[in-house]
Amino acid sequence: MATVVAYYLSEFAPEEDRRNSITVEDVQKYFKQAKFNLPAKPAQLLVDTKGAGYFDSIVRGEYKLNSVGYNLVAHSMPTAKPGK
Amino acid sequence: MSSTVREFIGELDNVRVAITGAGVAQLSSQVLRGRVQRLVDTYFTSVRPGIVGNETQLEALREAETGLQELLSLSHGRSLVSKYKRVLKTVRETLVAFDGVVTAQPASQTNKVSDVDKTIIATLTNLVPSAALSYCQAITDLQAEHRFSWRGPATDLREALRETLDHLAPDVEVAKGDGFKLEADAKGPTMKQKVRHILRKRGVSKTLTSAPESAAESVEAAIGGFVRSVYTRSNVSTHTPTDKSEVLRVRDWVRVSLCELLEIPT
Repeated sequence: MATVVAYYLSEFAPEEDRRNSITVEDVQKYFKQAKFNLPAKPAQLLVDTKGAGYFDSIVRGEYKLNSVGYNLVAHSMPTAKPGK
Repeated sequence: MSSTVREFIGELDNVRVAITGAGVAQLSSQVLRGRVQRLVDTYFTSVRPGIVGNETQLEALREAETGLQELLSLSHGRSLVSKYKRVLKTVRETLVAFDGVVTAQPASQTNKVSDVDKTIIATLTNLVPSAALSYCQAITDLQAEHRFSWRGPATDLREALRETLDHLAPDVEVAKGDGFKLEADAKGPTMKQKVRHILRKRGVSKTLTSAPESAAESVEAAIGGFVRSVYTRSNVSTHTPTDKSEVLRVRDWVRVSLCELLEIPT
């Protein structure tokens, strides 16, 4: 889900919100917006997502979706069926 | 390359017209003989160095080169114009055929790079550029029909996978993982252990990690055995075709591993 948020921020967010990085604040804001269960430790979610190879670290607490994360969201995730 | 060959064919036609237009049976004109010699020089100094092709194409080109050497030989004496015309005709026909083949080649070569390989290369270019170059080089080399040695593409494939694994799972992180244990005689985590580490972090089940883990393990085993076998074989060239099929198998294993690691659907 963190990769989806990062993908949204870099590709689809309104101009004023669009950027190539994701932080804990973004996780909290967009998880709530998507009605997705908030992780117990949002900061750890970002660390784990980096550990899984989907993020690169920019500075402490700030991460960037790398090409593997991009592939995951853009090509490997199931797409919604029409009408859903 | 094709434009150079075509320009040369044009120049060859000009020389032929000039020789025919001289209206003599025997070519004694120093000017025309000098022109033939310059034509041959141009081929070997300017045209030939820029020509690349596979073994079959270059073999076809050798007929033209033999003809050009014959022209040079004719130009050193007062040779019959009919001989010049015959040799020029043969050289022309060979070069025209060669031009046709190499013009059609780039499209067919491009088609040999599959969409999956293109995606792997694009992803690696952003992630680990040196691994992208190794993979790209290996895929390009594997399109050749003949090579004196297949070690190059084999080691390039291994390096592409190794560098990707080192980037996604540095030794220190893997060693800190739950239940990690160095394998016998290993100085650090193996490729198989790194694949397992990455996929576990992604929450992939044990059953699903087994295929890419085995593929990475096979790459290590095959290339280790492959490189050793080249040293132990007494006649490497005899085994070259077998070596290519071995490297193609390694390519398939590396491709499976990279697709899984880079989230590329197949």
